[in-house]
Amino acid sequence: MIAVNTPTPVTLAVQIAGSSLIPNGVNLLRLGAVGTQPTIIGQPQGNGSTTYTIQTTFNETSTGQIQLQVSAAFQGQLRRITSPITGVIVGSALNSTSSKFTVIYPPTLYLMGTPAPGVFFLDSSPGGVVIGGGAPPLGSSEATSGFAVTISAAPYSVSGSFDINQYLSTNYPDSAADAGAITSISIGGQPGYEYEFQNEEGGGKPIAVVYYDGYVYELDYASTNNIPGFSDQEGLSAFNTVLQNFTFNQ
Amino acid sequence: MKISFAWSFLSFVGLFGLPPASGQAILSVPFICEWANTAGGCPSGNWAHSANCGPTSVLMVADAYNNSLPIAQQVNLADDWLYANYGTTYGNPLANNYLGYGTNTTELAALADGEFSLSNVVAFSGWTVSQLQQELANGYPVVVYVYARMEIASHDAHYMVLLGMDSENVYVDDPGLQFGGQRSATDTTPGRAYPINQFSAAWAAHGNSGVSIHPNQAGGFVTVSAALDGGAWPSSGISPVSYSITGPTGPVAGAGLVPVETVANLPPGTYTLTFTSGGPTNSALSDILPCATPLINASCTATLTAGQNLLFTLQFAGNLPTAGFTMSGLSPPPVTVTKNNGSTLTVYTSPGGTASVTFDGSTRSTATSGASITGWQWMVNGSAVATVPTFTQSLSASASTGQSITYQIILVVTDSNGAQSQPAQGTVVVSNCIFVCEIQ
Repeated sequence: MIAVNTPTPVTLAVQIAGSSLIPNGVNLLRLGAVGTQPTIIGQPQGNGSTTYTIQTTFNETSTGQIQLQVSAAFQGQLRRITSPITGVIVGSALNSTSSKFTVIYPPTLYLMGTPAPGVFFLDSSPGGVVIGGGAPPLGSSEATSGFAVTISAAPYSVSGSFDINQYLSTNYPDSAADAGAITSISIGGQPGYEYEFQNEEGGGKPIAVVYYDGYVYELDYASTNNIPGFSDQEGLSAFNTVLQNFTFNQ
Repeated sequence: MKISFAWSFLSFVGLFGLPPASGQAILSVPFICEWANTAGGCPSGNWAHSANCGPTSVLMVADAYNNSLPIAQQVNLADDWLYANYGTTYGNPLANNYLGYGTNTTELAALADGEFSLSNVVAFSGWTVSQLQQELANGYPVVVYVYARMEIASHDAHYMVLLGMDSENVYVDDPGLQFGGQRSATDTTPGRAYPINQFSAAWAAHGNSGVSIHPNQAGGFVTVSAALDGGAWPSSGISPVSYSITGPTGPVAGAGLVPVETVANLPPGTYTLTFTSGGPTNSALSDILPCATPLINASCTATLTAGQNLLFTLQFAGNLPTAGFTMSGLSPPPVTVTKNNGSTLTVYTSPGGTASVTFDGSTRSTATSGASITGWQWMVNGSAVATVPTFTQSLSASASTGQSITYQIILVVTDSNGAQSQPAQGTVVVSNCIFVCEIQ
């Protein structure tokens, strides 16, 4: 995923087998709307093996997805062979200088601002989503179905290494005992943890925690899964995308 | 009988307060978890999908006022009522197994009125902490709109019932937790504590909003609290203080617990609190608010207005000066007799005559270390007679031979710190017997 309005070099590698491949006959295409001709971005170059690579810089002006395809010409074949379509998601960047992190979030999320210092709501509706037992007042633009990822950063002192169990028991003494299995993950290149609280409203949804440079960062997933027909699939995908695109500012 | 019934029953399910560490009251409401109406009930039901915290919070407050225990079916009925009245914004409960669809404060206020017949209800926003404290002081738990775990980062809009508050924490009962205000089935902590800053942030993120629900009753509350030298007492724990309260229908309560004890559902009228014993060590009861000082008979009478809270505050003072005095007068043959306060001096004169009695507070009144006595207030039979340490008073004898007149003497001293002593009392009997007189 790349950030909108940010020139970002992207390297694409493609494996092409076949001895009849015509040298310099490989094109990287950018697909447009249905019915429009694709644009040739460039020609991936081989390195003597079956791998062909190309680096190009995208500077997108809107969020969404760039659809890419490789076409290759082979001797003895009139028509070029095309690869499956692959996509590069163009998301938005949230850079908090005070909380010292940057995250690129997918187009399925909208930044709602900071309801409290160091807390950032990323909601699935541009007007926000009310999740849980609350409901928006009449006339509100807030949605009553959807999902959200919340990023929060708070100063935290540790002596020695960060202890997730101690953190939970200190900050969530009532919920810590109900925390399910704690999974080790990597967040922004740092060792992090993921868990779910149980037996409480808002429980059963993943929470990721990472400690870095005097701060504890929490990434909470929430959704209106009390609404019939709502699926968490898209929301959890967005949550994982945020986790994978979370970096610490140096 | 009616009042004593209300008292004992409220101690079971109602608004009987227990103090947190700082000495403020924590109300209580009967608890039920918001997924009680799902398969498995509390605590193992469908906690992961329930959005019934709003109607369940209203239910808990309503049942506190109605002196009943909430049951799961009431959660369903609340959902049905919301659907029937807000069908365009509130989904069909049957369609999702009565898990709720989320509610706003307007809907919850209407629910309290329409389903639970509590018409004295308002959906509020922009309130201050002081307004919450006033509600609690009046004995009203408040439904507050916050976030699950009292944490904004949960992004889970949530209602809880606010039960108490002090300088450090708020105390809530949370229908979104399996044990509500406690941490386990055996925990007896009165309310789940969250740091007040954490609460304020979560509450502010929802516009300082919630639902204020008052009981439907013609009567009101009588609350008793205590203070030592102007500060809440006790500073931690609870302490028994003996007092009695009588109202328009008779005795209300006997010995009680302070700092705060609330008796609800009382009819309006005149109530008298009489202090019996107890209080901080090395202190004395100086006042009972809202009555005026100085305190003479350790009781206070005030009026309870319908729907309001009558607060009696037992004001204890430590580091008090002590009042004391001597009484000197002539007795036959003649001889001067001196008695101390707390005793009776009998003096003699002819029928219709007057006896001169000298009162001296200077030797028996004491100030505490670093202070001096600066004020003297003498009363004879309730009338102020002098403001000096020593004075002589002419006390009349009866004109009828053989009859005596008794005078009650009271001295209250004030020290240079402004502290006032307990009254010291003495008795002077003026006798006019001629032939046989007993010298006491």
